[in-house]
Amino acid sequence: MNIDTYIYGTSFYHRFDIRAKLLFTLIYCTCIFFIHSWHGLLFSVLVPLALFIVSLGKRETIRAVRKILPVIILLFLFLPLQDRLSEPVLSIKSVAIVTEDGLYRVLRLASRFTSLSLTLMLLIATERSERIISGLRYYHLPYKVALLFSLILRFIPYLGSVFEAIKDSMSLRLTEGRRGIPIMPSITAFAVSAVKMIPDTAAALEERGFGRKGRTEYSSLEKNRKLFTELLFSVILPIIFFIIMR
Amino acid sequence: MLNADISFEYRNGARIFSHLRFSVPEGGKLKIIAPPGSGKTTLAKILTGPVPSYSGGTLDGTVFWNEQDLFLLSTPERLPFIGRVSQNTDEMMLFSSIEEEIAFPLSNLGLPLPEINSRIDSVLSLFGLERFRGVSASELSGGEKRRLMLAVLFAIDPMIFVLDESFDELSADWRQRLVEFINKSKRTFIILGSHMLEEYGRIPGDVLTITDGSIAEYHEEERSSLFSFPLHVSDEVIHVSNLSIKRQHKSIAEDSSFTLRVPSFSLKRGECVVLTGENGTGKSSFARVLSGLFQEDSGKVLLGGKMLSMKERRCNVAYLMQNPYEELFLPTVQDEAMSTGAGKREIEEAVSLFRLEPEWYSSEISYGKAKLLQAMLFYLLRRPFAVFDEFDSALPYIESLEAIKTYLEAGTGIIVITHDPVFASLLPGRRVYVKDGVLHEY
Amino acid sequence: MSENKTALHLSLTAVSAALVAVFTIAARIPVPATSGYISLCDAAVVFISYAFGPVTGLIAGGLGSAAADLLGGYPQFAVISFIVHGLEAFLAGLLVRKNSQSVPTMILGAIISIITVCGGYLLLEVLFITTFSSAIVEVPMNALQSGVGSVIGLLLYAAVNKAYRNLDSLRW
Repeated sequence: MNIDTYIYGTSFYHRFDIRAKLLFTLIYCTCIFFIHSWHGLLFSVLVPLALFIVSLGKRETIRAVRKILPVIILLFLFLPLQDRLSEPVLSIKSVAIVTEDGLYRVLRLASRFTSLSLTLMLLIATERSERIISGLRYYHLPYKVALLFSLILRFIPYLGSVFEAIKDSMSLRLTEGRRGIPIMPSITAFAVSAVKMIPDTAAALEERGFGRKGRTEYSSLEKNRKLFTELLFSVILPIIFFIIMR
Repeated sequence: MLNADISFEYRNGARIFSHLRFSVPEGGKLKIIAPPGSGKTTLAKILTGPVPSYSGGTLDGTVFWNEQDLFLLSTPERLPFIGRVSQNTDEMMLFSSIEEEIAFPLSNLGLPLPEINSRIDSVLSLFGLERFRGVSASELSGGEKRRLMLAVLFAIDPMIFVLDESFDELSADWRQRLVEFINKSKRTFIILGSHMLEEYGRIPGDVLTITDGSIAEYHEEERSSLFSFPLHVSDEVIHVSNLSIKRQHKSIAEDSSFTLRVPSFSLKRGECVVLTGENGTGKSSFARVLSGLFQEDSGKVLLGGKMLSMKERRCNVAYLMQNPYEELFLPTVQDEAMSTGAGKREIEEAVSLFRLEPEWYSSEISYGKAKLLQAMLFYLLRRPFAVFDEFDSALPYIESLEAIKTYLEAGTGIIVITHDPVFASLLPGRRVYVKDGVLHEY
Repeated sequence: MSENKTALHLSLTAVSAALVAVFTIAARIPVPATSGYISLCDAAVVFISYAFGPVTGLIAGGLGSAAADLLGGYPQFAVISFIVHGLEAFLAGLLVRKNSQSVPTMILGAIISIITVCGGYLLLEVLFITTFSSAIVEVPMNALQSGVGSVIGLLLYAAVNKAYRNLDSLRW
């Protein structure tokens, strides 16, 4: 099962320190909620879109946009584009189809959703999950929570492979002529093997010394001399953007 | 000096050890060779702590390391004294990144950071894992995972190393290197195995076994081949030509993918073929292609001249995966046997043939017994062909050979994948091996 | 059991969350009528809270479905999924304390799941992402998925309880 969202690359956004990237993502996503101007709506989508193209290329960008598109289409289909109080933009036989206020509301929602999605997708596509956790540790995410996240990240692909193996061996044991894989036995076998892991994992944690006093803080993040500058950029740039685009 | 005297009873009241006594001098290497179900893994877990703390049961006795009784320490406190490599490598793998896997116990020990980093570097190079630094743990092959788990233990460097079937899944080359590492180390080793590997013979030290819950002298098992009879080879043949299989590590950019080419290979019903080769060269992938679980890149798989679809392959070629638990789904041995649709008489016969008991719970039996159960199931399904993927690893030679003999006598054509040259020498039939990405006949 | 409960709790939560995520991503039942799929996410959520209680359910159910959204490439929905499925698990865990597998429990469980999931997604999407009229389109599919999921979850609990004898000893 391929569920890794990380896409290998060497772009500047890939190399941008994870600690700064997290800060940038947070501040930018917050700003998006407070932008009201027409050009602001446009540019708040263009910024992450440009970053996406530069760091991940055209193909990945199109893939990402495709994932967002269904929601945007729904928005336009089901949201009333007309609003009685404002000026009509498009009318057929004096019946207002699209009014300024209605259009603005739809565009604002669409813009907010798109930029938010792109910015978050950009984060998880340019950074390995372990590093995101290490980055969160830098911002004082409690050790046990970080450990929990790491364990979950290890177990999802592992259990995914167990599930694949179970489906495979189910199919090996099917008698000729039968189609499909029986659902209940597969998921039961899968749940049992997951449950069996619980005491084993707890034991493994303890055998690896979890719970001893005097633990050394280990981080796989390297020392970065430019970190301060990058952090500064991550704060200043979105704020300047916000002031201009508001 | 390590001095042990252990009595243990499972939660259900079954007694497994009564005064199991052994001692190892500091720096000594003790080998305990015993059949599956005799409690080797339980012993390893008792020494390091999770039994009884996570299993329940009643433990009595002492394990003294010089003046210190290990039983008086909690599991995490035993870390500087003792550590183990588990038989099932996935069981103790906690992180997605190889670096973090090794760093975790070291940081729990409270070592200074530079020391942690230097130990990580040195064990990664010792076990040939540097190039996997960026690979996520789930993409490692069986042998690579085994090396990682060994690397973790060598990084912790406790007073006592417990190796539970740790030579399994390692290629001949890595087995040899592991022997050298063990012999060079000044630490104390307890090596647990289900049969006397040739490599164990090159490690000096006592050899013991477990009989009826107590330690006994080990007597070399007879290595006579069971196959004095002629094989009943029939004309029905599965044939592979110009096959090409591709697989790759997705998370790194460097090209670490492998390609396996099989110019021509055939297997007749009733015939036995032994397949060997280094870790990660695609032996298991070849088995998956034959059994219809993995799509080849190009080439043909024919049965009696007819192209086989993926689904047809699944009905004709049984695949006994490395990890037997992945092929067991139902609560008990009886339930599993019934699911094959075999008759009552047939089931009874098969259960005793493979030395199982109908009321055993599949989730509770040992690794070796799980392999026998897996073998019984495909035996009941009567597939004309079968691939045994490292079937010998957790079983004494005699038991794995008997299972294979049962298949051959039923006229099944089989491929046996193994890393053990001794085991290979006991099997009849042709030899094939993978080298430089190509499957060759000897 | 061990004195150090933290290791067990960590392991229980992590495995349960991963179970939910894998069910969400990989376990799917085809629906012939719509030629689409329904995911078994809710079955896993309900299963873990029946097996391990409402608190594990809340944390693991929430984290697991959030992780599935993140890894599936829909990070924008992660927070909403966390709240909705966490709450669903919590309520399901409160409902079924012991081995009660009667038909009324199943129906009640299914109703609770449907209400939490449909209501939760509707409310939160309207507040943060879209508007009422576009979010309501998803309601029928969500209702089907959570209703079916809840019943399968209860059946799954019974089946696992039979195959793994010490299931209840892991509960806290």
